Amino acid sequence: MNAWAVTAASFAAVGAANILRPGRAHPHQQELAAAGWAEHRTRTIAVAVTGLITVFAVTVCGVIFGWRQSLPLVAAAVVWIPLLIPRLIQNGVLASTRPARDLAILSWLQLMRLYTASGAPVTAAAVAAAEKTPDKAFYTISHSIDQALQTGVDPLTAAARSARGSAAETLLATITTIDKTGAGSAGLIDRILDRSIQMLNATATARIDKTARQVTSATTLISVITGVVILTAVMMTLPTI
Amino acid sequence: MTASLALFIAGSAAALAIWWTPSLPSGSLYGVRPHRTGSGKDTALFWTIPAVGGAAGGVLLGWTFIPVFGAVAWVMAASIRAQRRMKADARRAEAMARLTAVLANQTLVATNVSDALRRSAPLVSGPVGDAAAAYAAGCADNLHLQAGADFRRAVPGSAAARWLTEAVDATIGGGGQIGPVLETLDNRASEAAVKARYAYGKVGAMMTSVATVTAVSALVVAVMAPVAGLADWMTSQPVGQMTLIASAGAVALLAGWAIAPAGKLTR
Repeated sequence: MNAWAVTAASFAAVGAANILRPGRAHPHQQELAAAGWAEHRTRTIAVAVTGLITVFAVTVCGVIFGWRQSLPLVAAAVVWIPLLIPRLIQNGVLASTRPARDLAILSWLQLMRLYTASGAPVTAAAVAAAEKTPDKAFYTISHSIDQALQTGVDPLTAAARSARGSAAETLLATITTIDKTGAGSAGLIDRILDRSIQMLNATATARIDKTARQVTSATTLISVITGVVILTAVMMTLPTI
Repeated sequence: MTASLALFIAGSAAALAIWWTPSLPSGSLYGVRPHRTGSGKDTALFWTIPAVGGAAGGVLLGWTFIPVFGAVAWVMAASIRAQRRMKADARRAEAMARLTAVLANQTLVATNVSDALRRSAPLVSGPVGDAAAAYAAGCADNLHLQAGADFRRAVPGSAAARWLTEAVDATIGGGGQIGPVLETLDNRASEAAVKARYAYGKVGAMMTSVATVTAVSALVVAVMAPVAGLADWMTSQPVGQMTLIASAGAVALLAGWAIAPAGKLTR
């Protein structure tokens, strides 16, 4: 067995260990699971993608550069892809579900504000509003509120913890603290709730602006594609000199 | 190619006619009150457009033109549908903001929230006003839960409609304070209306550009091909056919990238 094969085999062993080891759970694993991306699913996809890329790399590089020279590339793919793919999937899922979660939090806060305006205590309003927010993106927060109620923990504290990364996270935690210490009046809590809603609305407005830019880019690129098609057709049908 | 050009022009004219027709039956695909969540019938009708477009391309120019015509028809249909939906959302949000503003003013004279609703409904014109009148009648008959569900169905996709029914339930069922609730409801509904109007102005109105640019692009290719002697390369040469299919796919992907998030903006 030559040195290339030994190197490749050792790299492959490291790659296999990467795939099979339990690994550290993603800090937002619960959020990912709520979005339908449980850890085992991500890992299965990572294994499948690694296999596909390895076969592709072996075939292409083997044909172009020779089988022996392609071995280090394959070994590198086997080592790094299982590490990269799950992170890419998880970050992509979080990036796509977070806007939906922010909208669900906004909907929840708006209902909560309505209930506090009718004179309900803030915790009761939070629980009642969570019951009336059936959004799938809100599942993590409603689940944490449900668990908090069952275990006797403050539901707002649990909700604030689950809203990590949201624009309303800090203000929600502030409401929790004020409500717990009894330091604030109902008016103060209402004002903070209003501020949270404003922040989430600002995030939604930024998203509208982003979509508007996407539409502009899409129309420009569609025009460019048309030009490229015409140009290609003209070039391809030019008589050979 | 002449036949395909004629078909394309006829299709575009039909799409534009639907686009500019001000009033179609309520609940129709491009009507001013489309079903927000999309019923099975609407979805089937929507997907019929690219299917018919693709079939027409296949019959007239061969199987390679099925994805090309289908993609162009899909982009036009999807962008026009997104534009109509966002416009309807903005109109509903504005009507709800008007209703809640009137409601908030009624707190000085009304005895309870259903009384305020009964006084406010005639002051708001259109479907939202009619739905509010029916809701007020339901509340007066002590059927506020059923009437609230009917009201939400009549004003689909409107968060303000949901908040209104929640506020009514909270004040009727829980005996809450009517003044602060209606004031808060008014503030929230106004914010929602401003957001919906902004989304329509920034994104919804631009959807017409996506449809127009796609239609004009397809028209340019359809006209240029016979005029510049490119028709043979596009219809019978494998490289030409593949170029057209790939470019149609790229156009559909780009349009989908722009259209897909638009539907979620006015929630």
